[in-house]
Amino acid sequence: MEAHTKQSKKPKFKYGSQAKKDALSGYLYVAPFFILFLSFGIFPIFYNLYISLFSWKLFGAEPEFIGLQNYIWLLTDDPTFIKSVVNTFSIWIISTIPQLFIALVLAYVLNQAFVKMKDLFRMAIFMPFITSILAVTIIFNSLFSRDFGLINFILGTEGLDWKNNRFLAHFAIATMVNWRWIGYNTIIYMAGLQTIGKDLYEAATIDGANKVQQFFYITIPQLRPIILFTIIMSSIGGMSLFIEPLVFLDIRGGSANQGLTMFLYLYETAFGTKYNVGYSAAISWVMFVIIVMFALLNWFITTKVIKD
Amino acid sequence: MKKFGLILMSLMLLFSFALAACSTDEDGESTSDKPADEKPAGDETPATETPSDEVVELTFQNIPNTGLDVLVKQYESENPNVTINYQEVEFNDHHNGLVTALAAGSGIPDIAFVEIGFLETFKGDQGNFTNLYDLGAKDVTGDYLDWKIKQSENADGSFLFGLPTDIGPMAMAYRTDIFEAAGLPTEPDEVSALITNWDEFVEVGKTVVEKTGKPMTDSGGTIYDTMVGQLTEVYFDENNELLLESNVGVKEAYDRATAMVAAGITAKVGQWSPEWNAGINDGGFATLMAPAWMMNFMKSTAPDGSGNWNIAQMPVASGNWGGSFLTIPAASEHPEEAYAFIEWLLSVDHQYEIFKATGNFPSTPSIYDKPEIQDWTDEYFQGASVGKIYAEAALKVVPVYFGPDHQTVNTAIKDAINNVENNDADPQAEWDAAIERVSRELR
Repeated sequence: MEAHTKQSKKPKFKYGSQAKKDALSGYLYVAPFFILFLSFGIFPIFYNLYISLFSWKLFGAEPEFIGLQNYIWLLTDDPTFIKSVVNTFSIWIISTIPQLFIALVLAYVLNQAFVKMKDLFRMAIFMPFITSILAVTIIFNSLFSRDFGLINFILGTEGLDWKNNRFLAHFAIATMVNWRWIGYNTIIYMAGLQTIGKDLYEAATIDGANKVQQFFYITIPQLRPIILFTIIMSSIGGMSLFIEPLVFLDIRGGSANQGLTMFLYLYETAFGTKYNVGYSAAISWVMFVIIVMFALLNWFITTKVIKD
Repeated sequence: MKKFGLILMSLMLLFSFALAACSTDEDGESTSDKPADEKPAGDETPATETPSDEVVELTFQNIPNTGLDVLVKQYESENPNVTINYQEVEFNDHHNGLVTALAAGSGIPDIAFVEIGFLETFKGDQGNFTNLYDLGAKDVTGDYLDWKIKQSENADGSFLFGLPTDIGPMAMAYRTDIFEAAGLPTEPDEVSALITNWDEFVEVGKTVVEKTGKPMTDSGGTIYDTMVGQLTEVYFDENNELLLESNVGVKEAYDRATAMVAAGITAKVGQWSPEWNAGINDGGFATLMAPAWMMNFMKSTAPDGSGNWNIAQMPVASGNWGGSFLTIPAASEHPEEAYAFIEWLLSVDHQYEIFKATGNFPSTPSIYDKPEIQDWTDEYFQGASVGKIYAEAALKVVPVYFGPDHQTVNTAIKDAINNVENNDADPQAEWDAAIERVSRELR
């Protein structure tokens, strides 16, 4: 560093050596990424933090600095936010746990030697993931309709109100999430299964272990890093659940906020009827902390539970 | 290395704060100083000095199916010095886009369609719009309905946000088959005479439920909206002070709506839901509070309902649901040209043409006597003279002041009614919760 500054102080600055030119061009080549990242990545994040310290409505009064007031309101005097956190976790639990388990079992079965036309199954199982999420939600919306829904018709539960009952609404939303993400996780698990050596299974077969035992004592421990990955990914995805409740219910997650998730609350506060961007920015930061803590907790639990 | 990271982080923080500070300054200036800043740049001078040769381009952002698009081309051919960049965006996307464009100060059209609900929100930010009174709108306001102009003015009447397009005067659509089965009269005049106030509405509703098993109307929320629309003051006074708890009319409407729910005369179906569409189609409920534009919606979504519906006057008075305005955002560089265009577009003659082409109900009362409106009947509604009914309803609407936060408060109260209706919640507890929620959301 010092050598550089001394050189640049010299009145006659000669264009540097070839090595310096190379270095300079290198920096220029990577510069676009960093400029874009700074302006569209880093800057909005900190600007968001700045906004969250204001009472800032998109219309009317000028922004007013109120310090941490938004956070204080959010954490101590906002039952709607608490409700949205509870809803988010509730939907996460009833979607992610069955989702990952079903995906694991499916992957294991599809990976067996006796299954014919593996590629067809693999593609079929991945299809829901590439379907437009909005289309999925609209279809499920009519399936779970109170008076004309196929689900009520098949189950014989006439007039069961999937939208207005809080638990049923969570269940319906979780079903949409599962339908979409099971295939994705299955593909990831299948990729993981390819890495497990056949010799382990052969040895287990010789020792007299059946398929179920092999699944629990070989497959799951061997897949630990992959399982960890899917759990972290679905924690983040589940915490930021948005379109499903938005289209299934409405922008407020239903009239009693029965399906309001954290992300939906953030969006509603900023672009619903209130246009309160200051408060919304505060929600996003609290959400960020919750997601990080939750992902860490999941990582911690998973590494403790699945031991080889 | 750690130190370096720390320094980098704090530099970034500083950098972002500096940028943030800059951009707020710009924001603050943009509302007041922008036109002054831009004039020296020379954008506007050619247009005003030599209006005949210079071509002015106006961006007009509208929603689909307003019937205005046809006239745009006519205006362009009559005024060769004006090009209109006409855009149609879906209702919600258009308004959300306009909200963000106005807040960000870029991408703002010269002429923007604004629905009444959003106009109330925008009224909180007068600086973002051009006062049409400054451009000579005083000369034409007499052509429009008084209450419609009042909707478009600020509290003291000195600022006009937009010129009115169509309106949504309300009447009561009812199923003659259900009324007949309940042993009630079915002719519009008789029905109007039978149900003149909301108590009679409930009484008739009880008869309908008893005799036919069909509910009287779609939901408590709809009735609440209708009743509140007939008040002269709703949630805010003209100084934007919250009246929610002191306005007995609002509480009365709430109590009536929840009482109707308790009496079991509502079908418990929300507006625009599949159940609601089906109910209109096959007679799931006996009445529907219908603004003029609802007729086209019913014809397209519920074709089987044809011949079963008729239209009578609504209990108490009329009301207005929907309707919109064309506004000129303050960011427009050609407000005079934009105003000349919308004045032409929404003139009495053109409203009449739009009405004939699309059935959108005009906001200009002088043409209500025209035979096209007076003799307008509709087979979907058993040949009822709907034009006459809606023209009469339009003149009965009373001007109401809503205020910028109307939607926020209204959402909270409607949610409370919906919870009473769908989750058997206690009306008083829901009312108290709604008041608490409103105070939290307005802070």
